[in-house]
Amino acid sequence: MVRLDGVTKRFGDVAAAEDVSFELGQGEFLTILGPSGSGKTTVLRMIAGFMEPTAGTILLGGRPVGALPPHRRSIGMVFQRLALFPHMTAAGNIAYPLRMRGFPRDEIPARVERYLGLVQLAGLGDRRIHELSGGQQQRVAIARALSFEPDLLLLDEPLASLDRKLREDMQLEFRRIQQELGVATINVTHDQREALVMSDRVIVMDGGRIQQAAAPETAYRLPANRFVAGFIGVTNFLPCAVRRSADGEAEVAIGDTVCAGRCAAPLPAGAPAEAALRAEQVLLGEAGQPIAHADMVVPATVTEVIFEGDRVVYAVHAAGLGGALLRIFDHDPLHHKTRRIGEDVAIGWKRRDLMVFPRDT
Amino acid sequence: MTTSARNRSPLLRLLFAAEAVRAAIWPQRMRPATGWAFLLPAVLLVAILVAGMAYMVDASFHELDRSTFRLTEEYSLTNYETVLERPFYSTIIIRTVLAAVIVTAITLVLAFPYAYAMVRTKRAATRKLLLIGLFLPFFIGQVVRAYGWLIVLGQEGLLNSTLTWMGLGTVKLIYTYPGVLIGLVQYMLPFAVLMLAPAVTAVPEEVELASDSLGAGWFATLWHVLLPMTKPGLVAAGVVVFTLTITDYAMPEIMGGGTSDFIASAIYDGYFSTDEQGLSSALAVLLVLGATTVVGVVFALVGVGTLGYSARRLR
Repeated sequence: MVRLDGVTKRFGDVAAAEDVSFELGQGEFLTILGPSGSGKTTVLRMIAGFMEPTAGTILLGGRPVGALPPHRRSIGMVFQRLALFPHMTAAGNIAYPLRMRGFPRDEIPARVERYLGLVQLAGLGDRRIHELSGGQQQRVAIARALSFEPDLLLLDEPLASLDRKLREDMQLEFRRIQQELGVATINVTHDQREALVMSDRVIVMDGGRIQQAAAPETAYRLPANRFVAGFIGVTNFLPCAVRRSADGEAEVAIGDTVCAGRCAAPLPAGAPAEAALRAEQVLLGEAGQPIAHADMVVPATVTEVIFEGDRVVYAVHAAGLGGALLRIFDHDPLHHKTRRIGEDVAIGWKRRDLMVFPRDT
Repeated sequence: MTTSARNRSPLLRLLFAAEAVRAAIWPQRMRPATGWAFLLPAVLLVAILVAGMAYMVDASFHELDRSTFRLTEEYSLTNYETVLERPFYSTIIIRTVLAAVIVTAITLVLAFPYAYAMVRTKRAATRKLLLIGLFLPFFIGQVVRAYGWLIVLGQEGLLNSTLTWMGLGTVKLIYTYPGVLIGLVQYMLPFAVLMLAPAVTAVPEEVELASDSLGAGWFATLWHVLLPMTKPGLVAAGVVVFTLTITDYAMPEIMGGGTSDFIASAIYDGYFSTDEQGLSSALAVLLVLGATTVVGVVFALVGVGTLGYSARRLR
């Protein structure tokens, strides 16, 4: 459906997007995830036709689009601030692309009704935009972007401004509509949760480059580099030195503690590295006692306790790990036990959960 | 923590002193009347204006007594009959109204792209240049500007020497109706741009991009999105330009040189040259009524535009 080959966009000396290549199949939902300034919006705007790439080609339905203006591309887009037309009704908004693209006049009302129904706004077509709630406006925006059956749907962080509850509802709603119509979709967001929840595939971008392209679970469990490990999820990074590495395994020294972990590429012995441990994968136990399922156990002291209801977030100081401060998510379904500040505890983790990355990547 | 009035800065102390004075002369229970108090100076100004108008309306119903050159005591509609019957006046009225319509139309057509470019340009230098071009005429004044036009459009002026050089002959614009219109459009342009710029700013650029991606080319976007969404600004600018033009005095005087007098010139002549106060008053009353009716009809048909402040804003 869509293919990008070495797409690059430079503004003067600054590369907003560098050598971006990926392919998207029929019905696939892809999320481009990255912090602001990562180039994700630039990529989306080039696909939509609002910007021309400095280098590389974009193919839509097998044909290069080159400098084709947006209104000649078959792309529906939902904008960050929705960009609905306030001087038209909801139905008027949805009919707009149909009128502009020359759909037969007598087909338009039925089509508008169908798409109003699809987004569960049946009967609200006569409402003006400002008479609709935030969530209803989202629905109009998506119906307007889809009513002309575009080859591709682009979502430019349309959910970013919603409050959390509504955002989570709309994520599922967007996903339902997308699957019902089977339209190829590219979603851009800085919200990692949204990316994991909605997508078939995630592309993580930083500094204008693709850092990893993978299924959501792969990106989470097997991050390709330190950036991805740090951007998705809450991760503790512990400075360490590599002792030896082979076959995707590395033995490292974190302070006085020697332990093993996974690494994506072999690391030279003695090289500075960082061991990464996700906050929810650090296990908490009684001081001086073994922890079930943990391959490594080290002593630590609680320095901070934040009760969040469904979990308790701890910060612990581990002298044996070079004096590192670790963040721990403790769900503790068995004991309902909240630790005190200053309490001595043990922390542990499974070998497969420790990831080793070269420093400075 | 010790809090003390002494620790406040001199300015803050002054402000709190003023606050104490206010509390003494305008106690809390007077609060509901505060808005009216603020309105008072404006109400006084309007009241004076209304008094003048009342005097004028009264004068318009008294005929001039040719023997004494004073207004007669009896009330009559003679002045109005004279204004409507004399071809001299109907010519002037038609000329003025036509000018107001033409100038409003041309000014809006020229002002919209200017305002659009000024709001949408990405380059700060371009925006500055456009703003300077907008405000410069305000510093110059209408009379000086009109004389500038004489230099450009005059018999031996810039335009005609260029046309002659190109072998196209000369055009006479000075002391003609088209010359007056050109001068008026240039005079009104900054007002119109200033009133349109906020309306264009109120349209998010994303809306134009959305229209483009939905299949509308640039002109379709202009017609179906940009113009409807900037309608409040267009209405406001149109009303202001129309009323300023229909009441203008200086431009027809200088650029027209007596060939293209507007209603205001006739009123002026009546008051100060020919001493026909009653007739001039009738003309002035008709002008006020006419302009008010036009503005009223526009407001009734398309709303008050950005001239009306309302709690519900365009999103």
